[in-house]
Amino acid sequence: MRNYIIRRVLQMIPVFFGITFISFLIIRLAPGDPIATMYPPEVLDRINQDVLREQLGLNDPIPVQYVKMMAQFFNGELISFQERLPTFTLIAERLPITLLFTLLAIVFALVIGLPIALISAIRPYSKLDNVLMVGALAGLSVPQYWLALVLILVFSEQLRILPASGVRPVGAGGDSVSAMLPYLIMPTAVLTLGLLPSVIRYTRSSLMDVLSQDYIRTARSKGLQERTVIVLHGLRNALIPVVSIIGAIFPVLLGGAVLVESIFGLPGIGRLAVRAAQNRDFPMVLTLNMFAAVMVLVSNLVTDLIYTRLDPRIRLE
Amino acid sequence: MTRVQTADTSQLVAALRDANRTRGTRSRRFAARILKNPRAVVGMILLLLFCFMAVAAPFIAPYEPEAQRIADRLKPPSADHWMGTDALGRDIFSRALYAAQISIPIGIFAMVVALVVGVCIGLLSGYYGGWIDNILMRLTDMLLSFPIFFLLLTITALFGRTIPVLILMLGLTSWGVNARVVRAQVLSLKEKEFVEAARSLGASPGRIIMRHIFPNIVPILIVDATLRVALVILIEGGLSFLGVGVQPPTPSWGNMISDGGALLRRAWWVSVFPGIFLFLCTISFNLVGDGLRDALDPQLQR
Repeated sequence: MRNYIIRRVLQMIPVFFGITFISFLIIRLAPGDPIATMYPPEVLDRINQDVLREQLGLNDPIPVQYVKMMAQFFNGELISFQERLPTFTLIAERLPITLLFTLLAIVFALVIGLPIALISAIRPYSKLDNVLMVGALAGLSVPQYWLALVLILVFSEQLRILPASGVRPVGAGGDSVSAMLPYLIMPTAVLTLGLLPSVIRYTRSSLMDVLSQDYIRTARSKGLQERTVIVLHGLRNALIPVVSIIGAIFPVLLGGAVLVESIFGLPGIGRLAVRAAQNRDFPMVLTLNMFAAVMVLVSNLVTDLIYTRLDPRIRLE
Repeated sequence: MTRVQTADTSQLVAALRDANRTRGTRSRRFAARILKNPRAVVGMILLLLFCFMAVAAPFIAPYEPEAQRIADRLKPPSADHWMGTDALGRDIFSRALYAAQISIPIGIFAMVVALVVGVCIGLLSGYYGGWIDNILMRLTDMLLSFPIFFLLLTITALFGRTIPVLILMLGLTSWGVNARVVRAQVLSLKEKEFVEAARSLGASPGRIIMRHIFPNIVPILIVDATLRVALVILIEGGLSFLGVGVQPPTPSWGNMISDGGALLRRAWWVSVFPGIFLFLCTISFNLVGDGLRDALDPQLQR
C-alpha cells in the first residue's frame, strides 16, 4: 500500500508539470498586457514600462518565465503582479471559505442523493422513479447562476430571511461560524443542487447494474431480508463508481465555486481567479492553476484509495 | 486450394453484407422505441420549438433585439412587452428569442468540434493501442482532471470573446469524455468477428475504422452529442454571465441573466425570463439525449 501511494505520487509529478506548463503557455500566448492593469494610466505614462517589464521577467522566453516563476513559487517568493503579496498567502487566505461550502455541498449531495437513488433503483421505471428522474434531469438543466439569483430574489428580497451577499454581518470580525452560517446557506444550496442530479443519476444506474448481478440473486435466495440485500450487498458495491464520480466532480465544483462566489460576494478562490484572469496577473493565474491541479490529482488518489475500502477485491499494486 | 479460399471469402462478404442490412431495421425499431418514451417526445417537441424560435426570431420578435428606448426602461411585463424591458429599454422577449440564434449554434458547433476531436482520438487510441494509446489517453486524463470552467474562464478572458473563439474554446476543452467512450467502444468492437472478417479480406486499417467500426459507434455518439450540447449551452451561459462569453449588446441568455443581477429588487423580470429560456432549452436537449440513451440500451427493451 505504501509503495503504491509513493508510486502514484511520483506519477503525478509529470502530470502536474504538464498541466501547469500547458496552462501557462496558453495564458502567456494570449494577448493582453499585465502592466496596463497594474497602474492607473497617469502613472503608466511616467514610469519606464520597459524597465518594469524587465523587472517582472516578461521579456524572457516563455519557458524561462515558467521555470523562474515555478522556482519562485517553491521558494515562497512568487508575488502577485496586482496585489504585491505572495500568491500563496493570497490563496491561503481565501481557501477556507471555498473549501467550507464545497465540502458541505458534497456532503449534502450525498446525504440527499443516495436515498433518492436507492428509492429509484429499487423500482426502476415506476411512476415514482420517472418523477424523480425527470426531476434530476431538470436539476441538471438549471443554470446555477440563475438559480442563485432566484434564491436571492425569494429569500433575501421578498422574504428577507437570508443575507444576499458577504460572509459575515457588517462590523463583525473573526471567524465565528455561527455568524457566518446564514451567509453560507444559499451558496451551499446552489452548489448542492448542482451536484445532486449527477449523484442521483450515477448511483441509480450503478445500483440497477449491481442489483441484476448473480450475487444479489444468491443473497436473495439465501433468504436474506430485502433490506439487507439492497443495502449491504447492493449499495456497497454500487458506491464504487459513485466514489469515482465524486473524484471527477471536483474540477466541476471549482468552476461552480467561481459562479457562486461572484454572485454571493464570497471572498473565495473563485473570485480571486476571475480577477487574476481579467488583470493578466500571471503569477496568480499560474498559482491558481497549480492549486487546482494539485486538488484534482489528490482527489483522484484519495478516490482510488477509497475503492479498496469499499471493495476488498480491488488491490492496488 | 484456391477454390476453398474463394468460398471462404464469399461467405465473409455475405456476412458483412448481412451486418450492413440489419442496420436499417435496427434504426426503425429504435425510432419506434423513442417515440414510445413520453419524456423524449416532450424533449423533441421543445427542441423543435427552440429551433423554430431561433430561425424565425426576426419574424416573430415584436421588437429589434438591440433597439434601446430609454423612456421604456425597466418596464414590468405588460401587453406591450410580454416579459418587460431591461435597463436600456430593450424588449426582453425579443432579446430572448434572438439569444436562441446565438446560444444554440454555439452549443451545436462546439459539440461538433468536441466530437471530431474526441472521435479521432478515441478511434486512433482504441484501434492502434500501444504508445499512441498511451500518449493520447494521458492527454485525455489531463484534460479531464482539469477544472474546465476555470481554464475556460482564463482563456476566454484573455483571448477576446468573439463567437468563433468561444466555439473553439468550448469545443477543444470538452472532448475528453467522448474520447474515452469511443476508445472503449473500439476496444470491444475490434475483437468482433466482422472486424476480423474485414481484416482477413485485406481491408486497410483506414477502411476498417471508417466502414466497420465507426458506423457502430454512431448511436452512442448521437447520445453523447445531444447531452453535450446541453452542457455547452449551460457553460456558455455561465461564461457570458461572468462577462467573458458572448459580448453585449449581442444577446445571450447568460449575459441577459447577468444584466438583471444587479437589478433584482427593482426588476426581477430582467433575469428571471432569460433563465427560463435557458433552462427549457437545456432540458430539451437533455430529455432527448436521455431518451436516445434509453432507446439504445438493449437491457431496457420492455
